[in-house]
Amino acid sequence: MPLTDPNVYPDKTLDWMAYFNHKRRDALAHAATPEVIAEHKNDPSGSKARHSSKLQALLIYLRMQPVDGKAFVYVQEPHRKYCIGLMNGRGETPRILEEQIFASEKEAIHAVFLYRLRALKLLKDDSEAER
Amino acid sequence: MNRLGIRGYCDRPNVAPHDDISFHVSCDEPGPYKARLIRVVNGDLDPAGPGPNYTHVSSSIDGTYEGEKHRTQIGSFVKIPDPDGRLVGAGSFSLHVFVWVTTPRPRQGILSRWNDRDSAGWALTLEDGYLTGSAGDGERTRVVRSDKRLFAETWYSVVLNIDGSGGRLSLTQTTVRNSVNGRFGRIVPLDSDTCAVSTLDITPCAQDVPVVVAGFAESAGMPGWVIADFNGKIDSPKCFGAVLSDSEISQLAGGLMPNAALLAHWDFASGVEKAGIPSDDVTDVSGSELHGVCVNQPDRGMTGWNWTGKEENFIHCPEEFGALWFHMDALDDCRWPSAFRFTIPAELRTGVYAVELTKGSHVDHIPFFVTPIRGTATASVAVLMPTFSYLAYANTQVLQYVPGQVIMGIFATLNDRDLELNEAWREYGLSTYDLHSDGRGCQYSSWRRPILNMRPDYRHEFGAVWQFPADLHLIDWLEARGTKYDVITDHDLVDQGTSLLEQYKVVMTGTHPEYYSEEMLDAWEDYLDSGGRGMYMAANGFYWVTSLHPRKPWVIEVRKGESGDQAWRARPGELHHSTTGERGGLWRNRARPPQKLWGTGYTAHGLDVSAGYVQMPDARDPRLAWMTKGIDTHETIGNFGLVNGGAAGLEMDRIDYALGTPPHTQLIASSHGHSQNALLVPEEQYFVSPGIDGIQDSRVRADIVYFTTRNGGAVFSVSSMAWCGSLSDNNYDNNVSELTGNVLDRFSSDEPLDPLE
Repeated sequence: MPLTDPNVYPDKTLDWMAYFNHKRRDALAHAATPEVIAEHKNDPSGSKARHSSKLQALLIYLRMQPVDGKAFVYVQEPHRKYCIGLMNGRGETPRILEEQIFASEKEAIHAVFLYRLRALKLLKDDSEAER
Repeated sequence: MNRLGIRGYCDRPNVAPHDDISFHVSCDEPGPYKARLIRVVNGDLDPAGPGPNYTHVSSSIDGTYEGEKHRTQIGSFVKIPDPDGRLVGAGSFSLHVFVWVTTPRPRQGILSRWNDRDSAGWALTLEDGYLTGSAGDGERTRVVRSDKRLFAETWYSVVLNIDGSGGRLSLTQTTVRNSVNGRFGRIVPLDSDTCAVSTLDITPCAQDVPVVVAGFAESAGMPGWVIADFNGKIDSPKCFGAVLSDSEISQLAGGLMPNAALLAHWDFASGVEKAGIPSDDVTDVSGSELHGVCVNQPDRGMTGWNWTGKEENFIHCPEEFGALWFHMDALDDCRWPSAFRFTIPAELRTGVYAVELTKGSHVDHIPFFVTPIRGTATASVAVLMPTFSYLAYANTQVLQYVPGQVIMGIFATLNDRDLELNEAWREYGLSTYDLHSDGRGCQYSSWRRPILNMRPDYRHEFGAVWQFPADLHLIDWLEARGTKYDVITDHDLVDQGTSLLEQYKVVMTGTHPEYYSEEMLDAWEDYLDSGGRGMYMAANGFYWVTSLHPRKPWVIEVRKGESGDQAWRARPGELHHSTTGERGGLWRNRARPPQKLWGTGYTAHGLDVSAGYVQMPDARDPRLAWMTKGIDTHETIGNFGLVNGGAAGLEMDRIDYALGTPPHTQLIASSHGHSQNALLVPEEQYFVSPGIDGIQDSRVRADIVYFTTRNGGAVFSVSSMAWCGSLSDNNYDNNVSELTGNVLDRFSSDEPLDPLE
């Protein structure tokens, strides 16, 4: 059958990605344990000790997520004032969440970590984040 | 584009006394702003470091200026003046073009002589993926539209007949595929050929607009803005003073020239010579002399509609490389009017300078480099500022794309400059790390635009200081220890070659001199071979083949591929530089790996955590006692610093004898303790395997090495981008500073280095 209109052929990779993301998310559904969250809170960059394999798997998953809506650390004042921002894609204005201000980049990085976990419904109980 | 309030650029990176430099400034709101000259020593705001260090230098720049907002012409296109209206399109007229679209949306101009404000003239455009022909007389418009959308990255031969005599507009599209010239092979059963016809009862008429390839004129007259920029390739556009028959249309689709009245034929490969096609000129080969000029540097030397895949270098077979690849977000010069100029006073000391712009609470710094008078030196030490590499990274936006954060092993920390770059990326142009909006890698980068990530206080989206602000750590250290030094740049090195380096006892690199031209490598090799001393204060240096545009020295060209730490990969047949004709990619793949000059070459990147170096047995070689003086045998070197906590990190080099590390190289120390995010670079991998990280792979490390050359010369390499971030630790009293100082003192002395055997 001849092909006449490029717009009628969807990218079938999306079918696979829906399945893959579902499986990957399921595999990590219980990964955000209080221990893993505490590990990240204490050392978000892994500078004191190398991150555990459980935390590393979670971090790679979070970093691989699409850009739209992805949380990042926004610098309000270098080394003094940070908050969370949400990327809206190329050419779009990000949304800045100014209600929560962090005095250090380290705190803000952990807040972004928790925000992404929540957004992906990987944080079952917010009390885990507070421990 | 309104977060920053004010921003600017200068027309050149390097100036010597008596040279003239022009500054260009745009403000979001009109009104006065202040400008002054400052000398820059350090800009890093990290409270753990020495802090910013700027000194006001009284100059003729100091003053208040009236600011205004300047529009920037974005997008690459070809403009062909037609003041006599020879291509106005009245009577019997037709045009032919080969076209290969990459983003069928939005509205894009392909070939036009069109005044969009008045809807006058003629235009071949792409509308919602459909080829569309338009004719307008300023009051009425007639349109013919194809009934079949174009498939992306597929060549079409397109003819638009504007038959004023017959009262017809007709549009014919014919696919011209072979096995290599597009996305699809021949087996895909495309039914994309078609012909559409409509009535023409007006005479197209557009005064005072040029013919435009890849866009159309916004309106008549000056300043001549071009809009509806195009993404994709265009090959061999032509205009005829006749309506083309079906057989003539078939001839054109086969690459034959019909016996019709040819008015213009722009051959984009005309002018290709052994040294490439380093020109913006576009030649009309019809004899009508309707020549054009490229604006905003479309990609040249691109595979054309008839590329057979047998020849990969356009200079050997220009007839198959007749395409220009246009991008709607290309930018080679903002072309803002000059705000003020400055002639470098004879007494101005060589160094790093910036013009500081202040408008209300908004501040911007426009950096530039002042060298000594050409042919002279004022010190025995020179710091070679890697201006090519600054250009390659200019306005990168890597972390805003999905893979960036995984590569870096961090979450993005972004500031207002990053956000402005994201929101208004077209206004600022791209780096050689970015993709154009059609997915093609950006292969040209320009100095003549505000480079927001080349500011003294910028902390890179990679999470650390990078390039220019990182190099200021070295400048700061030299100032702190009272070392007299000259500043020179890559641009000076291209211009002056070995004679520039030969004026110095020792030349120090910046922290990441990654982008190098052949002339620059030759200059270093000659210098080191004739007794010069080089201090490679970096890693991942001398890596990508880079060329400077011979006629636009503010533009560099890079073609990434086929291996390496690549942001993108040149498509088949497109690895050769348009500006020189040379093969792009890694110098390693052109038999010039950095190990040959520096003993070490790129092996791994680790951008999350840095580490320290463990001393190797050679550190205890009594012949090197002068180097390790003051450093205890068991000390870890550089397990501290402003760049992720260590002197070994970001990107790292190691020795490799097979790649040319000199046999007599002394291995002073090697780094240990990198993370699972520190990974072996692609060119070091053959079969992929797990375990190529900083914990499990011995090749993920940085090596400090030393060796001597003939005539008392020597090379010292730290092999890490993070090294200079450790120099200031503990008020400059630390073993990174000690080791660097020992080497610098020895290298800058008159006494030849004792040759190692």
